[in-house]
Amino acid sequence: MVAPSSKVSRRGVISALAAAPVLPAVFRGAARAQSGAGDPLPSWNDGPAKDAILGFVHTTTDPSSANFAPPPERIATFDQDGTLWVEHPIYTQVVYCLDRVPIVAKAKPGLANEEPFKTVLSRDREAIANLSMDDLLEILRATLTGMDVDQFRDEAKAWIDAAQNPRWKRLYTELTYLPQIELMTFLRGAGYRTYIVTGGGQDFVRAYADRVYGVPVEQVVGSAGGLSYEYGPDGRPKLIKDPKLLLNDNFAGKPEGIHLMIGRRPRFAFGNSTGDRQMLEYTKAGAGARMAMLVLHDDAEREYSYGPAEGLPDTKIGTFTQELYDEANKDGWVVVSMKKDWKRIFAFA
Amino acid sequence: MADSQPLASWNDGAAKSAILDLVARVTKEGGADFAPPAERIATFDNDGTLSCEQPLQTQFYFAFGRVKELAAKDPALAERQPFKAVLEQDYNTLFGLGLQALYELAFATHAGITDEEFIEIASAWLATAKHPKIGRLFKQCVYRPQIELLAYLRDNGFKTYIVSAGGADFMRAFADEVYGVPREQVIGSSVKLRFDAGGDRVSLSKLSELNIFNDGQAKPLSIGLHIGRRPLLAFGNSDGDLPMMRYTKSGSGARLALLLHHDDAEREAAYDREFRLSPLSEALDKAQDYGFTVVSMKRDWKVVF
Repeated sequence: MVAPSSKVSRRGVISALAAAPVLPAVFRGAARAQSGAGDPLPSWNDGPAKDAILGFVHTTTDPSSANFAPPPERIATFDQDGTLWVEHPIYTQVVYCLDRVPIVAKAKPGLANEEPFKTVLSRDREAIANLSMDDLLEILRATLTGMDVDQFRDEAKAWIDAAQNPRWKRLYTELTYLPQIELMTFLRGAGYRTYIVTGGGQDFVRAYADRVYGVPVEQVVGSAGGLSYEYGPDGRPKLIKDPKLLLNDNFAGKPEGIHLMIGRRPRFAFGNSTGDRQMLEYTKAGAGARMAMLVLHDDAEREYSYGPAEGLPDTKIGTFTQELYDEANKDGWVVVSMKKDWKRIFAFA
Repeated sequence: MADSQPLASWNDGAAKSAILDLVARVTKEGGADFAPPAERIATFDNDGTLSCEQPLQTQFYFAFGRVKELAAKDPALAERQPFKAVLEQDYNTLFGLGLQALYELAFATHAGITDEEFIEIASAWLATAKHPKIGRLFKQCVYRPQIELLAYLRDNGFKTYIVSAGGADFMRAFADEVYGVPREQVIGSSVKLRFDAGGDRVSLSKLSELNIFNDGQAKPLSIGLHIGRRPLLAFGNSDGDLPMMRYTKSGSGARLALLLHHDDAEREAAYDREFRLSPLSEALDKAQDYGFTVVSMKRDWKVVF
């Protein structure tokens, strides 16, 4: 995988190789049932963020409003990591890749004695945490590319159906934010098409997005590696995942990916880090009513606390700088405080 | 299915039967070939499959008009190839460039324009531009049997996509109105973009550099990128559609790959191998081996436009 720019972040790495769980019908059903009862966003506390959402949806769907948006224009884009589900201390997809190493090593004898695979197999957590960016890229390349896309999706699905997050002892797919599931459901009910626009691997997210978020595979836009078209021994054509980056869906790559895959400027966009900045700028600058939102992780107790905006701890994963915070305030974006604006974070808690 | 007579412009025959049979199979709950709605993907080539591509694909007329505008501002352009050939309507030279180079030329004429400006310019052109031979608006030079087929598939829960070598943004300017296919279901060739955020304006500008030339093997690859599912039905008319059709047909369960053969000089055009820009040769010769259903414009279509 060729790193697309000199400023390689961990997020960039995931993207670099593009490449699953269940929330359950119970989960989505719950959101739907609530919306029928009156409040479409029961896990959101009353306040400016919730008011802004309700006001935006009302004004863009009321035919008598000057801000009315015809249904084809109702596009809402959501970042995934840190916006729809937990991204700390490390992206779920990276956990997947590390978990795949023993399987890949078994299939390829000799690999177990080579770095960085040897370190991963040692289960020495400190050594793994200290792996370099190049090492990580090597691991991503070995675990996310070279196979048929259908096979990859099956493998990712099997993993995400079983793997548990160590802090909560829950499936990763249960670590999706209930307020956001309600929001996506609410938007769809108002005629919006909800898209995921993630720096993470498109194929990875496609393995579970429909079940977890109600977003079909074709509405998942992510970082994507190239594909090769090959004929199998039986003459059957298949698509093989290449270790070459086609779309780095971060920063300016997000609006570019949106144009490529959707062909319209979104009416609504939601992110949580500097990687989402250009998507939010592009969205907010369109004509008519537009809405740009960011969630600030300021809730160490219920989830995590990181910024460094507003004096929160700095992080390399999902960085939310003070500059981004200031731009949001200046340009009328809505910053959501996880602590103050979300009544509940997870369906299970 | 509300319409008791779907595909009214199709004559009874093997092609129509194959379509009706596929739709019946994949929509029959409990049947061996039942496909849940999420899997019902149908992909159509555009030029020559949904609309007339003779003597040239529509987008080139649009781009050539733009070359004239640019040459008026910069006379030196008129002396340079391939612009010279465009201005002199020297088709022999233009065809010699090949389809990709010709599209690259077309795309280059709109470099520097934002995504939204482009849609406006293309929509304005399409509102008045007429086909030089047929004498009607280009957007009316589309095949009625195919419009019926797209609608019939959608009525049966299919999501219909366009997967074409033509520029995605150009097709997005008319696909919803003409085919009922929304912008996000149009997959085509594309150029690289530049993101600009300065002052009040945040925009994406088109560059002249090609991003994807969506023909041949690029079609199944872009299906993987955009749609993420193997289609149940694919429809093409040239060798550029061959990989998409083979990819579709070789999926498990019931699948259909249709190949339109232009054999109707009287009502439209008769051509295959000799159309240099987009020949039909291998796909026709091996149609049987690959399990394609060949649609004869002359025999299978009651009306064309």
